[in-house]
Amino acid sequence: MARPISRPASIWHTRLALLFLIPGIVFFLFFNLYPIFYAINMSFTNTSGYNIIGEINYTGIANYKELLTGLGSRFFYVVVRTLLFMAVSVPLKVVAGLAFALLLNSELLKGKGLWRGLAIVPWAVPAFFSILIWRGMFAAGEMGTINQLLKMINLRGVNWLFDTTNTFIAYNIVEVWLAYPFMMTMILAAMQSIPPDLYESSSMDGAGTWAKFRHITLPLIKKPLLFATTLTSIASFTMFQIAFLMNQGGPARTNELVMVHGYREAFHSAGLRYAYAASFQVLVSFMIIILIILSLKASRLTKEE
Amino acid sequence: MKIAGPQRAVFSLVITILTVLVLIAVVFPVFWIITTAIRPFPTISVPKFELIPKNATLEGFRWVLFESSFFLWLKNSLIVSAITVTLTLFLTILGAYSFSRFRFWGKESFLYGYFIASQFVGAFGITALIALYAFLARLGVINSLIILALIYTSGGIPFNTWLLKTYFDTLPKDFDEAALMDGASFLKVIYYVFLPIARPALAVVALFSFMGSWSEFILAQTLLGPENYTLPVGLWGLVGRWETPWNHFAAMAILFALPIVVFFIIAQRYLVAGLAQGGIKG
Amino acid sequence: MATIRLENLYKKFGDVHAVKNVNLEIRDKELLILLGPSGCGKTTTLRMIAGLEVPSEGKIYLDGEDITYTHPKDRKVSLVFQSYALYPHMTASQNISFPLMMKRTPRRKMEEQVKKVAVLLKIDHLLRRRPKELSGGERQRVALGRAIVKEPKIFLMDEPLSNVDAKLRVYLRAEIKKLQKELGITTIYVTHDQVEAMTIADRIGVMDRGELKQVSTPEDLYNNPQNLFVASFIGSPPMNLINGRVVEDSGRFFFDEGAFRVEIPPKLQKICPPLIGEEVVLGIRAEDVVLNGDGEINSALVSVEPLGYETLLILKAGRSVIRAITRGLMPLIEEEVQLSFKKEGIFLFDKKTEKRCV
Repeated sequence: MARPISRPASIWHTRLALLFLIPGIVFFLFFNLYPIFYAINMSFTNTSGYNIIGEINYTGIANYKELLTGLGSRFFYVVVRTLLFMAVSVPLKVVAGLAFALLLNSELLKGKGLWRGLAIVPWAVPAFFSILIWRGMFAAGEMGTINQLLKMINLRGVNWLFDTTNTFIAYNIVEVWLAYPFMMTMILAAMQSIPPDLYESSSMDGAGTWAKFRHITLPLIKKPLLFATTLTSIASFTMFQIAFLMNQGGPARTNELVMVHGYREAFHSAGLRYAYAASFQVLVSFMIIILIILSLKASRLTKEE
Repeated sequence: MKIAGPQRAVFSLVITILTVLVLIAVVFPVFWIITTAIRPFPTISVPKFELIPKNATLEGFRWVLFESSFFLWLKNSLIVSAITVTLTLFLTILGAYSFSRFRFWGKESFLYGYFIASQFVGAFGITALIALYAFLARLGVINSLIILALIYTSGGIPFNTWLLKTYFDTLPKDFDEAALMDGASFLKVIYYVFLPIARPALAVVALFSFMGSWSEFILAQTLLGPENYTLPVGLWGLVGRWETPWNHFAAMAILFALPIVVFFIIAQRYLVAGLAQGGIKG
Repeated sequence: MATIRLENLYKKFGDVHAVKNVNLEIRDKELLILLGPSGCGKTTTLRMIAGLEVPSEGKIYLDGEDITYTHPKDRKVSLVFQSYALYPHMTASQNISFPLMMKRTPRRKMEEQVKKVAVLLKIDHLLRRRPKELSGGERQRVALGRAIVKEPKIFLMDEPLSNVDAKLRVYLRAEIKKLQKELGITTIYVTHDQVEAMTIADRIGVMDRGELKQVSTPEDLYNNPQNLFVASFIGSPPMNLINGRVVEDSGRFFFDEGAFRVEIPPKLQKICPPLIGEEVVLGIRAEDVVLNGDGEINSALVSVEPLGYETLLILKAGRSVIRAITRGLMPLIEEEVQLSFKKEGIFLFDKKTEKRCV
């Protein structure tokens, strides 16, 4: 029997659409957005590992005050250290990604498929696992593989993970190793979408290798390159795994990046001060949001060109 | 100007050799872990550099299989991953179908929101973790594999929905309409027509959610107690501050990472396609 | 018994009027074809009858019952898609039985019915194959089978032959016609191919820019086009349409192109008085253009298109291009040719309303 459906604009325009979407959205928001608000609320309390199942009191802006003006606060040190990490690692990642992409896209290269496969190995191995491998290779003295290799070319071994500056260098090496496949893949995809006749016609016009790169390749990969750079910048700023797994932001907490600091304040400090860590994370989250807005603006600017 | 003849062959050789050298350096850590797994003693290596270890042995693997808690951790990992994959598929299929087929108010904004979320959700991970920990501790449900799987699922929803939606968009709408005419409801359209046709894309989503949950470490390490350790947490436990039994670690790490690497190779081109799409749309 | 009635049907997509005020009655057991160029609204009309689109205004009745907002699955209507939309993961037999499965038909009965349909369509030897392993014509039959097995009251077909090659198309359209008559199912069939429409339709509805221009039998559309669009769309080569004015000269009415004059035939003389001085369009089919030495129109031959048995001449007279079909006479290019129009082949259309003057 024909059953009328209520005034639809079309069968494709249906309340069912929301019904299908809502479980996913609710699920996502509950575990990802709600905790952010929970953290904001918590940052105004004295929640810690000792009163977590007991009574919690609101303490106003005490946590923030301590964070920004307290004697023991390392807020500014950690933020500056993180910005430094960003400033060093991002250009390295971009240059490495670009270099790999150019190399693997070169028409002079034989056996591209195999080399491209090998080049993304760092991406294929779970980061957690490869960072620990690097930790092993960076071991001190004559036991560390990297030091052994240095010795083979007559260089002195380095005390990698027990020295502030050396640790910072090690973080950058690992970060570049982990992240260049992403940059390279984005750039390669963009390069491969450039029609080859552009290069051929510029050859006819007498353009050399550098001129081709400067006037054809670079302008045409600019947009995806910029997009990948913004993503990788945010990844650098929020880097957790490398610092945490290599030596937990050491030695003596001198290499704590923001995420590691927040984590350790919450779970590795004597006070287990969740609320204090939350207030730190709230401030960091604001910075991340500003970064995201800036990066979206940047990628939109290039789009309008 | 094109380089021609013998000069070209020389350049080609130089570039190829350069590539090979760079890639040897890149792949070296993986090579290192494999050789470490077959070293006869637990120290990281002998004081002198050895490319292939002397007296190679499978002792590391024997220890993992017979003396460690490998199978307990494996079981926990499998439970978490199974729940994550199943739930992810269920939620993303419905969402992606909705985005791909229906017209509704606010669709573009929702989609944009999902896209942004899929790119940036990771940046707030630690903030969310601290809050989730406090929140779950108050509820007394911290040490739970199911809760962990729910968190994993939620984080991947935007990316996986987006991925599936772009695949659904390539399937002709005639299929849905034919099935609707034939008396199917939307749920039946999805079940009988879409799922079988979209199997490759579903496999990719399943792989991604599996890989994500299989190798996640921070949440698991923070939330779980020893009886619920997953493989990464168990592995982490082997790493000591001063001394690490690297041959045991390496053997277990290989067993743990092998499925991921294989899956990654299978799913790689979809990941790249998804990223490239994101690059264009963003 | 199955009739469809469309009443003041409108469909808007945003600002675009895809279908404008369509009124149409499809009779029982009839094969009605909606014909028109792409974008004319014929497929949208079909989809509204199928229930895949909801009209912006107007009503659809099936056997007098209002089905405007009824869900497609409750309409007892089958649709054959242009792409066939065969499910690629199912065999031919599973494809055909899909509608029955959705109705939870018992397995035994399902197999029986699939078999019956397959025999009817002569595809019983293909039932185990997947769409990929079938030829275009075979896929077409499986799609028909899936439509028939539901035992629908109405058959809808959306350009069902546009994906098969020209030779097969001629064969299949005869088959479809035969099948439709055998089953006696009221059918609405959409196509842009007028030959297809002319050869199989009981009646044709010609559509243009969302409007239904004329509904009639193929012969009647050809012989009595009611407006300029139908005149220009039906027939190959299309009807010659010549712009000019009506003038009066000593009590008789003439069509004046500027360069030449044609006397308006007697049966149209009586409608001429109000048209004097008005812009009109004279329509004449190529086969009604006569090439003869004493014709009243001077023209020059521009080009020649041999059609095989006949030859199409393209001529220029004044500002107008005139096509003529000839079998014997074969003038040379740029040669002057005298023409005349057969009186009974002349149509007059109002230039402003585009309607035929009668």
